[in-house]
Amino acid sequence: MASEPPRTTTTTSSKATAAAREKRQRSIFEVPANFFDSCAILTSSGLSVASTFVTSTNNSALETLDNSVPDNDDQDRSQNAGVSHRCTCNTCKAEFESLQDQRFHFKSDIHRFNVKLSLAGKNIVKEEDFDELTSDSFKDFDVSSISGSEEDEPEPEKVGPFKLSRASFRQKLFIHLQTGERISIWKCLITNESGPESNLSCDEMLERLNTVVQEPRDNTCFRIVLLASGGHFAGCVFDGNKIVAHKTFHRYVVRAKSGKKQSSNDASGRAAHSAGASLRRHNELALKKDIQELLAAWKPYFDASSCVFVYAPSSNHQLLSNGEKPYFSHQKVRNIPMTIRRPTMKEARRIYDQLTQVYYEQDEIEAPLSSKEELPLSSGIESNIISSMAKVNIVEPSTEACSSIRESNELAISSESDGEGKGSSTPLHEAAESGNGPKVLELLEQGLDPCVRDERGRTPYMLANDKEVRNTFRRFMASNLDKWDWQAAKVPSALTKEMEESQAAKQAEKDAKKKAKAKELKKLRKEKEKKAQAQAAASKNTLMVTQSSSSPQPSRGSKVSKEEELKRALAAEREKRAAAAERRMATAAALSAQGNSTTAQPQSGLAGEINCSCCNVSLAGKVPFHRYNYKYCSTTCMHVHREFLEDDG
Amino acid sequence: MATRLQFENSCEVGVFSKLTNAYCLVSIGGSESFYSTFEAELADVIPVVKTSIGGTRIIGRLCAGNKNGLLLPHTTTDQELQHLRNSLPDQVVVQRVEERLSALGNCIACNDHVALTHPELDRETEEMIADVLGVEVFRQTIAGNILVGSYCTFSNKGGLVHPHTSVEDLDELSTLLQVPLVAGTVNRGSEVIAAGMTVNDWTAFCGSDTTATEVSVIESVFKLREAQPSAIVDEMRKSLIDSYV
Repeated sequence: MASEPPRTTTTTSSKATAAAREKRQRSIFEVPANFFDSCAILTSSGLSVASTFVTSTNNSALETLDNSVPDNDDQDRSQNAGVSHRCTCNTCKAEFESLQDQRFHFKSDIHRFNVKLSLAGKNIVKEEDFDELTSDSFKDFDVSSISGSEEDEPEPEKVGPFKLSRASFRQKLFIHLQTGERISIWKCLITNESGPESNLSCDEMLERLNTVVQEPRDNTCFRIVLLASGGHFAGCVFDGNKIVAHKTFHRYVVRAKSGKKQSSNDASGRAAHSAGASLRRHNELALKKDIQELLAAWKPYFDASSCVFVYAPSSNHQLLSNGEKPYFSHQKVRNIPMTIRRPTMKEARRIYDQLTQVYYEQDEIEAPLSSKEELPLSSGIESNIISSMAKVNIVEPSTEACSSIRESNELAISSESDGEGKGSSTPLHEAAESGNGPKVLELLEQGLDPCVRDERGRTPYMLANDKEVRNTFRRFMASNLDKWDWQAAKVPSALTKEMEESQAAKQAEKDAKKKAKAKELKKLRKEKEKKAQAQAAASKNTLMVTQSSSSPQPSRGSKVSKEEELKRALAAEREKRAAAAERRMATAAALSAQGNSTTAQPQSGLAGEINCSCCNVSLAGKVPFHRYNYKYCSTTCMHVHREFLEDDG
Repeated sequence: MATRLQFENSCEVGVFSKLTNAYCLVSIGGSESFYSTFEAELADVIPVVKTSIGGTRIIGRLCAGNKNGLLLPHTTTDQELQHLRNSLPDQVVVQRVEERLSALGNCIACNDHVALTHPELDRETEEMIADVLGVEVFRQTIAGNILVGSYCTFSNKGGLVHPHTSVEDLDELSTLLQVPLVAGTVNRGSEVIAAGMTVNDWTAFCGSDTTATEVSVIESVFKLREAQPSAIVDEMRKSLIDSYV
């Protein structure tokens, strides 16, 4: 029945390390009860007093953890050793250990997404990156294919790698285990960040962590995930890692192509009256009713829950609230600090798994930890900000004393960025950026380091967008060539007095040249104007001469402009024409007088002139009406003339 | 055995018929010969039903089905749906799908256990395929073509795919589907496999242009020769002769 292609045995090293990393990340509910016994919370804000919390040392817990995990892995492998298939996905360039894995992959979103990408001729994405992608960045390749279920709201802002790391850095809790390992968990798992609990002490946090780990799994400590957006709703009740209850709803509420919910479109003023619009309106109400009924039915779960993770952007929160009588208390509500895709049961599960995961942080922490081991009660700060932080803290008081320019909110910003960034911006950065030359000089003279880099790795010199400020740096460099490593400060060259003087001299020379040129130009222009005036005067004179030839004026007689001459000729012609027209009219009048006596004679006698056979008006330029060989100016004329002829006849 | 036939001078017999292990649909044509060929081959085993879908004759490209069920596009009329429900065996679920891509036959390739689908099919349709046809659904392409239903056809015994399918893809697909696959053509080199032929577990029909080589490939990969009575005798011969001695 089944073919048996040769089994591929190639495994890349990168895949192996990825697997190793993966195995080290596990749910917080799976760790032993005494996992957090001997640990210290690493605070990320350098300004707060760092504290550590060390209780009884118990290494056995970690040993068991480390031993148990590889064991499981080995078992998995031995089970799959007998299967000999080519379990790969050529589209996603992935290999799988078992047929189940392969089949699961082919059903997954990432596979769909990659198939679409590869069909569009784009590069595929890796699984790790896929989690971070928002549907914003790949709108055309929207993973959800249910029509009209595009996001109702702008997605949570696009998260670049840099921003993500910073954001998650703040929203995570870093814990230093006694074994030297460092782990992180999401803060929202144990505290409510936006609420009054935002500044818990480390002791309290650890206490809470311990209670989380030691929670009994007897349906008394639920965690609930509620996701609602774009007509989709997903609710999931978890007890530990187990799903106790779940429910999803989907209603057609989002306007296809236009996006946004019908209600938000209605709110903009022009309510549509189409059948689709009323369908969507009805569906919105129905969705709300469904959700409200579900939440009411889940009341016991909410009562027994420790927290409720809610994702309901913008107007969606109305779906979850019930006016005066809320289903769950506000203290329990936690925001979800990550990007969320279309609310489905699977998505709820994924969110929950991520939120409850214990992340092992490795690489970057090794260095500072080794130094910290010497001082057992030291503060743990992200390694690369320690040095700059220290400097900032020293410098700050002095700048505050000497500067009145700096606003208080600026201070707040700077101190905030101190805490979260890689480097930190100093007053020197600010002064340089604001273009305050004297201030820069003052700060430099006080001994501030121009080599310090801010969060984005820029030195103060790089921030200076004013030439004068940059010159201040260079001048200072000239006078203190050995004080700092100016190359590190990115100041290109010194600016000595002599150089400045020579520059000034050059500038002066340039200015002089410019002035001379401007003068010359002015002269030329004046000359030209004079010439033009003279010409105009001469032309006027000739005109006068031709106009009044009888009374010649010798002073102007020589100049007549051609234009005037032309005008004159035109006027003469016009007069001639008018005279001719008058003459013609006179003859016409004479003829009509004559015609009264001799009517009914076709007026062919007149040379080339065609007149109406009835009223004798000239038909020149008109389209005549014909009857027999008569020509008329109008139909009435024709009728009148016909009657006249009939009477005659 | 593979039968060669024509539908009114067209060799694309897969377009005008739909063959599964539980039923056979044949489009209503001018001449009876197409229908009677099917009838002669299948009549005593499975029902052969004459029908149209959405008033058209290209029923093979519009519907998708296996022994468990039949999926029809939203263009199907109520009468046609009713007719099919009446004609097909009771255990076959007939279902109309609201899917933007209405040529379901071009978008879905399936046997009684697995289905390959167009990558852009709706989630709802995917769920419906899984429910109605009782299959596992995989979104895949065949040699870079998204119309998996056109470029491959497979039964529970074997399958034929687009001739440009790479060896790696072939291996991967055959692992995924758990049936042996071969890259090949029908109708004297046509790469639109499913349009040129229709197949179930014991018989196949292909266009009259199909060459002898193509027929032999089809018969071997779909294991149609074994389905003949002579195969049983061949298998039994050894034991029969044994008993003589």
